Amino acid sequence: MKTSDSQSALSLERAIAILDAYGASPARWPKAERDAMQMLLMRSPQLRAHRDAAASLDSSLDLWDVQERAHSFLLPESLPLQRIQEQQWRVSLIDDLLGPLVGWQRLAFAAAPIMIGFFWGLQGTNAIEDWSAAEFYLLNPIPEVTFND
Amino acid sequence: MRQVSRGDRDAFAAVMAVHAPTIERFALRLLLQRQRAEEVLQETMLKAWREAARYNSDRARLSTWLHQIAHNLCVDILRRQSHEQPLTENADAIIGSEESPEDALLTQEGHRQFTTAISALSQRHRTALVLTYYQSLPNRDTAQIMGISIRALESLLVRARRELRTILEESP
Repeated sequence: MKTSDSQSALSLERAIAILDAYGASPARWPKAERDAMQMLLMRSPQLRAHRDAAASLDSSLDLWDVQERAHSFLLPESLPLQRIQEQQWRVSLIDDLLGPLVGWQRLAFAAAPIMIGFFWGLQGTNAIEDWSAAEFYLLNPIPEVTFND
Repeated sequence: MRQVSRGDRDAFAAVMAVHAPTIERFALRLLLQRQRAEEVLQETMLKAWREAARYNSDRARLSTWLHQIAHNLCVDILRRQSHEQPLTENADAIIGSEESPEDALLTQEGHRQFTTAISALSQRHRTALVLTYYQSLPNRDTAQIMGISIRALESLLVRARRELRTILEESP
């Protein structure tokens, strides 16, 4: 009988771990280790005892049947917009907006908000200076002058 | 899914016909509440519709991707309701009833005991067990859904099964 590397490499400890994790049914064992498990089971009475213990829990698990309702999912009349369509919609909106513009005009259109922001920032510097003056007078009130007759 | 991403409703309906029952059973076993499970199914499918273009078959199977969406939704719900009613109160609501009255009674009792036992597991233990055992997903896919390594998944499964066995042995 031909023995592959995976069959000879499977240790008893690993075989027991497979039974403990996946149960007694070969269909649930990792595919790559299935043949080696079968071979080892034929040779090892200890492993067979372990398999029988796993099979008893499997029989309890097999009892747990749930009933789904075949009709429970109904395709809605109007399905929501697909994400790809949403993206396409955004792209087409941008195309509609920028459609009449060509080359450098598109670049100028994109740069416009940056330029507006820059000049707005420059304007803001003066406002900060004004605030600094206001803050100075707030923190250093002009002393009240009194005259003695 | 490529067709779905192009807005093909029929293709989407075909995808759901295959996957909706599996996703609903998954949500039902995690949440133990029929109404919530149906909400998760609806949400999962709507999200799959909206995000269809983002699905990459090289990274995950469709079933794994849908389970991942449903899992995230279930985890959110479980976090929110952790301080609300205990899950065991919902055991009766998810039991099937296509049997004779005597069999149904015996099965229902078994179900109730088992549901009580499994609801005592932590959310991560229950998720690992449900994905591996009931959803029959390969360990690589289950680990991907839960965002953990295969070793970590196996460790969770060992602890989950051990804990479940103890609970079942201790129950009357």
